[in-house]
Amino acid sequence: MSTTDYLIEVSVTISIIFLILFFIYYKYNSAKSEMDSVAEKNDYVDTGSYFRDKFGGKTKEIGIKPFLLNDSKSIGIRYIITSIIFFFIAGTFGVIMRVSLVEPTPTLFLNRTVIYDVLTTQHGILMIYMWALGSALGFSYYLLPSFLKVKKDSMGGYSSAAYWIYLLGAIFIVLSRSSTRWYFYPPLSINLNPYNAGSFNWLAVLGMEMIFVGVVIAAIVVIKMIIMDRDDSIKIEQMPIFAWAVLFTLIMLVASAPFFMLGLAMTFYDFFNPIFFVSSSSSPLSFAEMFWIWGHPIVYIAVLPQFGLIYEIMPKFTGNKVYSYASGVLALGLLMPLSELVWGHHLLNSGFGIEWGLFFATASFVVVIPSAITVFNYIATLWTSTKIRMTVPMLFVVNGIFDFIIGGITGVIQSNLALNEVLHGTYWVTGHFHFIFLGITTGIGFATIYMLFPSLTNGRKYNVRLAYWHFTLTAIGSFIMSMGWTVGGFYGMPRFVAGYFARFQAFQDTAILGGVIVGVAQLFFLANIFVTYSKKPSISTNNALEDAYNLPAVDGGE
Amino acid sequence: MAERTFSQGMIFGIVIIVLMFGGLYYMLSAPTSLNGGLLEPSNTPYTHTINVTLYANALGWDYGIKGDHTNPTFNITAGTRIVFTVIEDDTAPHTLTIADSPSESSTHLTLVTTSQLTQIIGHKVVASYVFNKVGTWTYWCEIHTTTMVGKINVIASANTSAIPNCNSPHSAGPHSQNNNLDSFFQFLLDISGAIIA
Repeated sequence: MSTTDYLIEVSVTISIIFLILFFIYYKYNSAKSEMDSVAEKNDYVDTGSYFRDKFGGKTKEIGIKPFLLNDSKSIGIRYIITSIIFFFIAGTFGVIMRVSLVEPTPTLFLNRTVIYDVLTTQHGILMIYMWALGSALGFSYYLLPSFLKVKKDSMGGYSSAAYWIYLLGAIFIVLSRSSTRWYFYPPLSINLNPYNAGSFNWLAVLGMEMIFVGVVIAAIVVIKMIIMDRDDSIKIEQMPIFAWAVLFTLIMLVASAPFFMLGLAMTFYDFFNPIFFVSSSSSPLSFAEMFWIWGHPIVYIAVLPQFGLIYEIMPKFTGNKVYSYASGVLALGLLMPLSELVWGHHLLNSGFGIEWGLFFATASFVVVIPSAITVFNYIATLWTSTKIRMTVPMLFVVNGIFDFIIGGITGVIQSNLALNEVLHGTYWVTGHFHFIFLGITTGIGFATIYMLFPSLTNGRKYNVRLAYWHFTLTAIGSFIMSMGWTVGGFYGMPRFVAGYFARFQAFQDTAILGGVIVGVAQLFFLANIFVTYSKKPSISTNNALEDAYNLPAVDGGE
Repeated sequence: MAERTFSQGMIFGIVIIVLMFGGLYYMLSAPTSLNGGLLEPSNTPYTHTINVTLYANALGWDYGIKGDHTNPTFNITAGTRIVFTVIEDDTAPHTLTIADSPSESSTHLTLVTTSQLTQIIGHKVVASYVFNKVGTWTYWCEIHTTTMVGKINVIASANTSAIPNCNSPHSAGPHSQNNNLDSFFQFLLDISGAIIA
């Protein structure tokens, strides 16, 4: 067969394929416009949502179905599933990192300490963006429709797309095996460095940008849900505090994310033509500033929704209302602008000058006021209760308050300009935020999951004994670990390194003990899933958290 | 639905476990063997040092004379330390990257990075490397991979004095990637000729 014949055959085949494709597109398009008009007649903006509500059933259960539907409950379950999975992945990295520090000289990663950097990076990024932010978004999507009795659940298509972008971004981050920390400082991040562990930094930057796109879309959808789709019977001044917390959080997110998104885009450009963050034409410090304008709000984003959840969980077990609704909302509202003003305290030693240093230090001290209002509100709620039922979620809440007090105080201390010179870059900082992230973010996250257990598992009770062990070991282990770091950090134990000086071994080994206990504790949660699912559903699928807004519910534990 | 014993929740738990260990395995298997041995400790012994001044131009590396873009081939003996002085010649970003293979390889070492060599004409960066492994090495710019690429032949005999000699650009031979590309273009030409005929 000559080339001409061959070419003609290929062209004819391609033409036929394109004709078929065009026909399919034509049929799809005409059907879609019909569907659109039907959906529009029924007062739906999103065609997919209309057909979902009309034909597809809704689901409240963990499984494959939430990934195919796009109502808010399903999207919420998707985020919850993803966040739990990534919590376990990132947690494993954390435990291995701890274990590798058993001796002052690197043991597990001898001669390949870059693995430690990779694990630190992955642990940080995945825990913050996938676990803290993912679970917060998941609970928002899951709970807000029933808390606010939303009139119309019509943004499912956007939420679904945002979720997939977000998930793909996270997968890129994992695949990149990047070894720039979670803050992507250039010039390390713009170098495809000789170690292969950093040669896919561009993929990490791309993945990060995708996570941001997904999160910002999701944030806008949830803000719209709170402000515009709320039922008329729920006035904004009577919204559940969780809705307020999510609203403040997401406004904060949308306001501060663009700085880092822009910084990432500029970093990506720097791979090809380094002009933005190199010392010849600019300064790497300018990236650090762009990062921390976002980087401080993100750590509040990780705790604010959980503060709101505490306000929702606590009354279920104390039997009374939250002590002061107004001050609770006010405190959360104050945290929003303050978190935007204190980002400079991450860079106090970067040469801002004493004026800026004093400004950021003072602003950081002011954060104590709303935090203290929140904590005293919790304490007052507990104090005025006649009987507190110490179930597992309530234990997580009490432990969260306890850990937040320690973590908060250690945080305020390090915003002191003079002390910061000593404490920055040490394990003190690690201890400070692990107190809060393990106590509030992780603790309240699991408390909420336990509260939602009957719904998420289609009417099963969690095993209380295993849950109790999960709580006890998490609480004890996180306290030991964070305390070891905090004390060691005060003596100057540097963080982010694969080895350390021998005089810090006691602190490191204490932290390893705690870290392993925390790791083992999470296995009890995993065991709980298996034990629970080995039994048949026995109770209603309503949960205690939504009962006031939903149907009469049962307590999750057996 | 209530009769299921092995349910989606079980699968969820198994997925968690699999991903936990899969993720850990993936991270721990990150290739950290210092680029297949390319990155050497700074105190590697070497027999002698030669100085090479390269002008980085997007049209090709210049050795000695500016403006002819020769992409010189260096013939050296094993154990020679070359001190590269890379000078910016146009305003484009450049790297100096080496690999111990006859063509560009993914296991490589970037001696001069884009953030070290600024885009100001005349900016100078010095980097050195001890060539111990016998064979044909490749040096190139990661941004201009087709134009700025040359060879370093490392010979085993340690006795002959190593003088870098600058060959004509043709002696280096066309690059393998270009070969493929050329044959592809030739194929396209053939096809278009056939159609016209």
